[in-house]
Amino acid sequence: MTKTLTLLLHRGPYESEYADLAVNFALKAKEKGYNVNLWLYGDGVWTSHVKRQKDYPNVGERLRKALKEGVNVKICARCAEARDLVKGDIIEGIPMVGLFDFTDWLEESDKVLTFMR
Amino acid sequence: MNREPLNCLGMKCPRPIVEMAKRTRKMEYGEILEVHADDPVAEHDIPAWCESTGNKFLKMEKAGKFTKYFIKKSPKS
Amino acid sequence: MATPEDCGDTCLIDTKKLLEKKGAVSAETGSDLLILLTEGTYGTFDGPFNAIQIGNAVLALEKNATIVLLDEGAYFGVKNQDPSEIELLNNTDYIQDFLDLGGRILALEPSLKKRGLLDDDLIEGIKLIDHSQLVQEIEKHKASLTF
Repeated sequence: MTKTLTLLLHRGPYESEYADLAVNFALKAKEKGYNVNLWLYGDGVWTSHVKRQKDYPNVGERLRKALKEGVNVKICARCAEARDLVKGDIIEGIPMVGLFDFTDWLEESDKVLTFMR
Repeated sequence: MNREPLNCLGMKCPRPIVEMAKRTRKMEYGEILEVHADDPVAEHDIPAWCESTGNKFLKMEKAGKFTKYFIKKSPKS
Repeated sequence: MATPEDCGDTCLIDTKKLLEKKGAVSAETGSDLLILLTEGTYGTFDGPFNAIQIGNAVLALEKNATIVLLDEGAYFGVKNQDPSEIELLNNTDYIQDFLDLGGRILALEPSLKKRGLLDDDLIEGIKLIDHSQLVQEIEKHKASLTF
């Protein structure tokens, strides 16, 4: 039976390695056959804001790849609203939802990881 | 009907649900609670919370800048 | 269900059934969530505030949640918090909601001692634990988040 892994990212891009760690981890876990959920929380929501093409590797590019590979990504609507992030600002395909979508993920997960510092 | 509507105006997720949970703990089964909320995610969260906890979601009504939600305290089946 | 008449002079308790029922109830409680809070209160990456929002959401769903205060997180449990002068939301309101909804807040005693905090400095309802009890808490929870 496919196992489910939920990741919570609470840090933004560039300020630390955590955004890259979370997205790369998600991609690897998906490759290994996990069903993977990625919750963007707090400043983690900024990761979705990195949406333009760049001529250097970046977490936005990796996040777009993760979405394409079937990683489920959601953004905390409250955290986004506090930062004035709206749908048009972020990578397409990432819904802004309430915290209870995350608690649903907790319920169904075999493992949960946080990417924080 | 639990007479005084629960005012969740200005509250953001998950606060409306937390306030509902606190209020329904003090209600009897069969009592109806009216909730006023203007957080857009409440439209999804309140019915979902009802389904998760066994309470009955009765209806919602738009009331200008906010929405009225009506739920009935019910035992989990 | 057996009546006293069925039992005669002997009252039998089916302990196996009781344990099965207890197990069934435990299974039904679903997501027991443990939150390890290692950051301080105000102005620290919003961690404590966001952590307790999750805790309260889980409790509102009538599941169980426990917060353990470790390291700088010890300050999260201090009583008489008043950040009004720095225009931040008071975490105490959310902490009270958490306790009122049946959540448990535990504080690792060594983390308090290192910071010169005593049991009396904490919000009523917060219990002290040691490392051995922390291990037990981690063992018995289905999912954990670290903030």
